[in-house]
Amino acid sequence: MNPFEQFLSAEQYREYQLEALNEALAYAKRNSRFWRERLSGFGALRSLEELAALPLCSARDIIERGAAMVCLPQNAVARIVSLESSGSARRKRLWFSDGDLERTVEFFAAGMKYLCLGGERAAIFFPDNENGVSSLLSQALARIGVSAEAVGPVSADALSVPAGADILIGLPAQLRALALADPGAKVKGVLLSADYIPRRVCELIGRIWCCPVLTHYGLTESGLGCAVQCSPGSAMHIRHDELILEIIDPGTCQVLPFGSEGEIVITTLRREAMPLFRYRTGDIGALSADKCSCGSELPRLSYVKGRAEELKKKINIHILDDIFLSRDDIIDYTARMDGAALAVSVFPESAIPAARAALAAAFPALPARFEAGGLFGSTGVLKRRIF
Amino acid sequence: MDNNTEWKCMKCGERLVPRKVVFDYMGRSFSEDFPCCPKCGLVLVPPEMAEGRMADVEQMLEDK
Repeated sequence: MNPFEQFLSAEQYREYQLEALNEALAYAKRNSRFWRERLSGFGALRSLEELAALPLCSARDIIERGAAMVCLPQNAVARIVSLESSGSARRKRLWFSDGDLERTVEFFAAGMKYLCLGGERAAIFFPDNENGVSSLLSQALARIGVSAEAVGPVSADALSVPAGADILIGLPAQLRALALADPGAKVKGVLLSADYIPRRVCELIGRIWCCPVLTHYGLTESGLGCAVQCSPGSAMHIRHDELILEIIDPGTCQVLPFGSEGEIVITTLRREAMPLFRYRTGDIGALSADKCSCGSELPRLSYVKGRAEELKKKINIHILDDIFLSRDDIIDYTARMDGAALAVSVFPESAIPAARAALAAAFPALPARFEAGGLFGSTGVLKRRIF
Repeated sequence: MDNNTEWKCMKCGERLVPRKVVFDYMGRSFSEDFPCCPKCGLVLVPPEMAEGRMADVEQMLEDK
């Protein structure tokens, strides 16, 4: 079932999701020690609302008991992704089967149709690992007639758009720097993903290259893909055939209604290797039930505000990105705390006075030092952070 | 596992001898000496290796 090509009514989707959810719960209890224990005492659900009664799970569960969540024998696992997890020295490992990866490719193919036309060429600015994001995206693009090249993260030595690339896919800060450094490139579309995306970064890139800029929200736990815009500035269409999203109050853990901001919680519906039920993503966002201009009546992800852990801090990377990355004169910056002071490296050096003024306007009392540097402090697919 | 333990292959009854073994994972290859059955090729991966260095290397390669 493809959420982008069949506009089922919201009610029809809810029926599908309830059936898929009950199958997924039964499958997980049959095949995983962790879920058998965690879900003991919970039978089939009679409505999607009853999902809220199931226990939440978190990154800590994956770190400590991830292997017990796996429902397949090791020889049926096609790919494991290991991730560093904030607040833990141990890594999170996520298991995927061939079928899981195939459904991610289907989602990417459906989503990329919003941005690409057959015959176009795409450059993917993510690392090129076996069965990783770049590889799955390349397969998806090939299915819709778009040739793709995994060019790796944007490098400070090569701040120009690869020759012949029509569509660019990468991290917001990196593609933004590319747009500022190579404004004359003939880019037809941009997809931003893999980190917090300030709204004004989308506007800046779209204005410079005169092209649509769409955003995608996904995490490894969601099977890499989760939600994507169909037009600039709109709410993101969720991968409803594969995922149920809830928004909870991060303090009370109560489910919040459409429009309320809270922590994004995901439940997988068809994951074969490592299903997740009510997984706390640690990201803050909101859902919308408004009908999309494209005709879809299904709930969408209105926006993602950033990581809960970051947002708790008064000075956090998301706020700094909003301040610095909305300006045309700053190509990039990195920031680190130096005692109580914020040390900001700015590229190019000529933008330091503007950066100083912008920070002082937002945080007049914050001691800060500025220096030259700051190009691509975070590389690859690592999320930006204050060092 | 005690280094002096003498392991035998249950199927062949042969004493395991150190041999160079090549491991492939995520498009990379590694080789290391492991106790192997000289007849059927069975490889014994000691637990401290499986849960230690091999697990570390696996996770380093498992980027998305």
